[in-house]
Amino acid sequence: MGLNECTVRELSGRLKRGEIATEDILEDITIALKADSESDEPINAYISFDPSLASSLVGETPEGVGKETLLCGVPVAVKDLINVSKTPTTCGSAMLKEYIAPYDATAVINMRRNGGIPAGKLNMDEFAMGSSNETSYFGAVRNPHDRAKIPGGSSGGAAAAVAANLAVCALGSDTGGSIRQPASMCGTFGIKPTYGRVSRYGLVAYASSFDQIGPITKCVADGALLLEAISGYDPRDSTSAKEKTAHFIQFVGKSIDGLRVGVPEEYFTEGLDEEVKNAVLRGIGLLEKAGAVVVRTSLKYTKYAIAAYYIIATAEASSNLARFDGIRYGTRVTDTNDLSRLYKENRSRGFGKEVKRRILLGTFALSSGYYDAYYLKAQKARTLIREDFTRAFRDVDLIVTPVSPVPAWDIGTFVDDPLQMYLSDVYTVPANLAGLPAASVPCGTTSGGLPVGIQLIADHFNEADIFRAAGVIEEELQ
Amino acid sequence: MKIDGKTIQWVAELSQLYLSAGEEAEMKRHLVAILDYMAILNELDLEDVEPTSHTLGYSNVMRDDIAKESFDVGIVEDLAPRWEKGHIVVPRVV
Repeated sequence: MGLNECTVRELSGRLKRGEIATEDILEDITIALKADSESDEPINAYISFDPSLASSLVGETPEGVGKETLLCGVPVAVKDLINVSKTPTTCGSAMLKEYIAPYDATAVINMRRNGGIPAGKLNMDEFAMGSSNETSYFGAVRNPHDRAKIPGGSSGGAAAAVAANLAVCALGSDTGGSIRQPASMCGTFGIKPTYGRVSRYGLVAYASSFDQIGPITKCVADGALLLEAISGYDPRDSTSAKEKTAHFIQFVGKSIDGLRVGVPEEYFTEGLDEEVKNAVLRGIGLLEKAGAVVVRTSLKYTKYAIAAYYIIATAEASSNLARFDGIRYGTRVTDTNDLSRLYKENRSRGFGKEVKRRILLGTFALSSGYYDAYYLKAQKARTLIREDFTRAFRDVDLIVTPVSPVPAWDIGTFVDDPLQMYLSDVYTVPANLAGLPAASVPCGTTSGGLPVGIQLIADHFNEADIFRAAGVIEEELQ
Repeated sequence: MKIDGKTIQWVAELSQLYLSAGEEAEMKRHLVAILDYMAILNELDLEDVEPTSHTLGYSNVMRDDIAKESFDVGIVEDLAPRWEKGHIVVPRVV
């Protein structure tokens, strides 16, 4: 068994005992990547991978490697919208194909202090805009379980790399489900923390009021270790929370006896694939068997979540992406004496179709005459959705739902139907609208062998209950 | 939602984007379908509902204005598309 196939827990123990070095793990990842790139249908999980650069970072963090740290020198692949100093941060876009990050994101700084070694930048939907990882300038990512299928998005490279043992673990980001949906479709664990738990400093912004960095890992315990390693208050992020970081791994394997689990009826209606439904119900059954008290609950504003989310997210995106003009940021493709032409040429050639569509939609929603009808209305609907969860969490500790209404679909299916693609985010966006922590845990496969995840949503800063329940599901299914 | 070519051109202008005739037609078709779907929000009574911009209700806190170390000039030089005599060179129009 190659070291690339091991979990963080297994590797950190061996690193600590001095049995292996980080370079040994990097070597096995390099071999696996070479084999994949030479296959007929490569997964295309990475945008850049430089093992010598990763090795050089080992020497720069002597306090974290091979010591009593959380990660002890384990390589961590990073989605390519999170800054790692001296490496490209392309955001999967032609616009930033030449951009080299001058500093580490705070999550990366924290991770390195805890012994994590940034190793490679992962493919993703352009500027994290997509649910299928087909919008990347660097090509689509394939699902390791069926190469004709999408891996999910936008952290599709991260989930596919972890599932195919092309990475030990990874950092992704989640704005409307971009950690949980690919984790579900690739059969890995993935958790979006409470908004504010992990600093967004050094994460290229898509929709600032939703974006969160989080781990994608082979098992629940690895997710707990990596989340602890990256969390913490950061004065450089004005939305960072002054919450204590727990030692999350202590909750993995803990009893869930008496845990109150709510199952919202609105998540089990028309449009939910039968096989996905059965896998999720089986997961709920496992929780009940382990002592959880399962009750029905209601989140009655769920059907408004997609509309509210896509108005707010695209509005924020249209503002955030204004900086990419070929002057301050972005590749400059033309020189002209006409300022407006300079901006338009650079932006029109630098952005792909989906990014342009979301900028146009967001600009429209914010424009004079339409602001009240769209943006303000969506922000008010967001309040109702947040209050829905507040009410539900008076009676339950955890809410359990499907992650995606369908398993991974064929590459190319929704390329010309963006609305259908947006609607596939129906079960993941509510947690972003409410700022809640939510995870995807593998809970079965379809008859075609495609993984299915179950979503666990907890109240703000209650990731502990997610790890308790996730640990039980994982253990029961092994 | 009624969106005509003029509206698309106006939004493209605000977005600082060029759209070819083909792109304009495609964007129009997609935006009409998406905005029609967004009309679902009209079912809600939002009269007395406050908008949410931050889910945990945080508000801005200003820090003291203290000078801190910033990037080394060498790093900035490496990032600049053109650099001459200690300055970033930008197009004359800027």
